Amino acid sequence: MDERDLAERFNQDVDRLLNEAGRTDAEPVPTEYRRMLDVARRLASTDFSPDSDSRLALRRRLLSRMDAQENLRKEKPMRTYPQLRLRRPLLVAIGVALVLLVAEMLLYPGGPAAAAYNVSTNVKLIVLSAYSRAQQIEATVTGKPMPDDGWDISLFKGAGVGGNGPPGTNPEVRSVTTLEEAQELVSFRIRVPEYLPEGYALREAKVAPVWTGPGALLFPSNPGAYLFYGGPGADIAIVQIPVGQIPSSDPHVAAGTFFTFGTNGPLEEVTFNEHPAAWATNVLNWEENGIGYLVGGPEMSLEEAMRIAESLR
Amino acid sequence: MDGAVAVLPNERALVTRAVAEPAAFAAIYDHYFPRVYNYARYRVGDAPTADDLTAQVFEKVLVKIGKYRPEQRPFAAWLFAIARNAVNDHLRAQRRHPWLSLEALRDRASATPPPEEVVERDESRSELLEAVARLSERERELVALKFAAGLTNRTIAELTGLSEGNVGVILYRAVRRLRAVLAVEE
Repeated sequence: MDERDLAERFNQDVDRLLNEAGRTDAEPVPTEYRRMLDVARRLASTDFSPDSDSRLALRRRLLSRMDAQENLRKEKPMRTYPQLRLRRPLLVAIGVALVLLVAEMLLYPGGPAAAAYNVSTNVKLIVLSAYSRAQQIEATVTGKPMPDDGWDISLFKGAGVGGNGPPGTNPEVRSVTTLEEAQELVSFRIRVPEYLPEGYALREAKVAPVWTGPGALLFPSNPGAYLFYGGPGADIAIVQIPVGQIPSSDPHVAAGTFFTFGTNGPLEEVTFNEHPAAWATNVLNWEENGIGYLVGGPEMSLEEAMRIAESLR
Repeated sequence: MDGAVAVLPNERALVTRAVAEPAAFAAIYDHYFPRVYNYARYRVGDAPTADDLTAQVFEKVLVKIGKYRPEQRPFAAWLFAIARNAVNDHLRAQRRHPWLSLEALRDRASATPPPEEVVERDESRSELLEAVARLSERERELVALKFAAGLTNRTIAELTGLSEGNVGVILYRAVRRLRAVLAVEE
């Protein structure tokens, strides 16, 4: 019997072993051969999946996303919700010249995905997922200060991130100097780039709430992380915000965290890692595994942003 | 025989319904999660990376399941083609930028002594993973597709571009090598 014959016999025995609850031919086989079959049985029967930390969370997230997609299908498009009217002044108030981004938690009856239709007809919209979207808007710079219940982070000149809480609250943005400190403050694993242009290193990390004040009593806070890398050129910013459905104590009310990226410049639909993504002048935006991402900088090219984004681990 | 040794009952109907029905998708997820996770684990070794890759695979399955055509190939073959691509992409990136995840660091820092039976079970599993890690990348991939994914040699051949006979010979040699490594460790 040459090796190919032995291999064929072995594979037949392995298939029998895998198909028929471990039964193999009753005929006697050499000890070494039987031990090889034991190894095969051990390989097939050892289950490492109890080690998984994310099995249940991933299941919940995927099923929530299906629910959200189903809601999207059921809703009629082009409905106008009050949140949009509230958001527009906020966008303007941030005073962003080129790019801005709003992280928000919306609270409304009927399912979280419905808000994905909160757009008027005169803007370009790229739907990145049920919870993330990028849109071209007609914002103008006013220089007005943020309202008391708002917060904002300037990513670089011409780009900022803002959010708001209920009226009368004063949402806090925390600033830390190490990734470990930032990791302590968020509920997801912060991904860091393995690739950065030469000479760049983490300068600062900020953690900002999506919702604070009385809302936080009803829904868990789910802050996002904002990483700033300094180097010989202009700063590079990487934003990571968890999105998706949020558990609600009221069965009649659905809540979700959305990631809205807005620009008054050109907005281009691109693909990143097989995900729909948006590219706006110097910022790349996409959603992956329940996290909304943004990679940008004033001198950033699409190729460089993709390279940094691909290296996130 | 279908593309996999263990087939989910009513799988074809479930896959069709899973495009829109969370309950059907959940049944597929529950059935395949251990196999995808174990496949990733045999190929990459550490638990956090296997978790990340498994999440990537099911995210892609959710996005693409509407495009799956049962008349073209069995569902398991389609699913593990996605899993194989995810792991291969990861390994390519890994070769460029070796790294250690935060979770892995945290695991190493853990000082709580586990119970004795857990220690024995973990040692046995670690021993198996270490033995698999000594195989060549191709052998490791075939072992993972055969024993974790539960695919037939024919399906493995279609996925990898090898002949069915070649798959059988590589698996035979791989298990023989594993047997030798494990015998030395005994």
